[in-house]
Amino acid sequence: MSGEARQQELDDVLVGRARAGDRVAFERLVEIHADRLFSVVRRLVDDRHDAEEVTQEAFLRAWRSISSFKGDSQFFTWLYRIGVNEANRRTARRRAPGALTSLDDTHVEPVDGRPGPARKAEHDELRRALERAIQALKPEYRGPLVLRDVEGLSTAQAAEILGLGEAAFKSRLHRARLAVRNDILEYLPETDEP
Amino acid sequence: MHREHRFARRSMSDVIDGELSPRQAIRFARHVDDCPRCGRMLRGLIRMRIVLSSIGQSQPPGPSIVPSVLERLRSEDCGHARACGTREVR
Repeated sequence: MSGEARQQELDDVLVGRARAGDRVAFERLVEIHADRLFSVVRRLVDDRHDAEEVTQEAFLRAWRSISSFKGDSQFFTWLYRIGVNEANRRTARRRAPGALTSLDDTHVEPVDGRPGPARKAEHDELRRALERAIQALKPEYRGPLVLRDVEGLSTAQAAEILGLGEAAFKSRLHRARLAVRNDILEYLPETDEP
Repeated sequence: MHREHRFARRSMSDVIDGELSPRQAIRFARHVDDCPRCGRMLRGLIRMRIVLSSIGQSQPPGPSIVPSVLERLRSEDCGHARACGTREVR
């Protein structure tokens, strides 16, 4: 059984117990999923404090409505949808120009394993440029890019979390990728005009 | 040529995601072989996606969010009728 299948099986067991009122089982789900949800939310809202509150609120809502979770989708998909909706609400309330998510404090290793400060500097420069480009995206485009390209979810999972049909999701993702690419052209030496 | 160029540009995301049909993939590859601009664009998008993915694979700095979520859950739970009667099973 793959790691993903084992995780799914464990989630199913814990969700079943949580639906029966077992808070300890739900707390185990928190331990499994909270940090990853936080990293997603962190990229969708304005600052770390907001991201913490959104993540807390998402789990609180999930716990209070766990009995309505029917298992039609994976638990994490359902949970992320709650988190993304909460993040969108928070962003809509607080959003101000230039006050979008920063990824500056996210540590990233170089893309490939080649050592050397020059390679790392080049990678870090591109990463910072990407961070700025993501910050500049409108929320409706940022969500698809973060879920699909940063978090690595499938198209179907990401579309479901955002409440979009796959065609609409793909369209937004394509636009987001092109917009980000246009913003970082100078850091892609092999790339020319849009 | 213009038609194939437009098709290639439209298809870039699907190529990256491996979602073109075999026939579309052949059509795309034929154009990119002859079009340096689309080739550069594709390589740029692929590199961009690799770096975005590496951002996602890194752990966020700072402490885990788990303790604060559990604390919030427990504190709110005590004011919540359902939770105070919760049966805890390990």
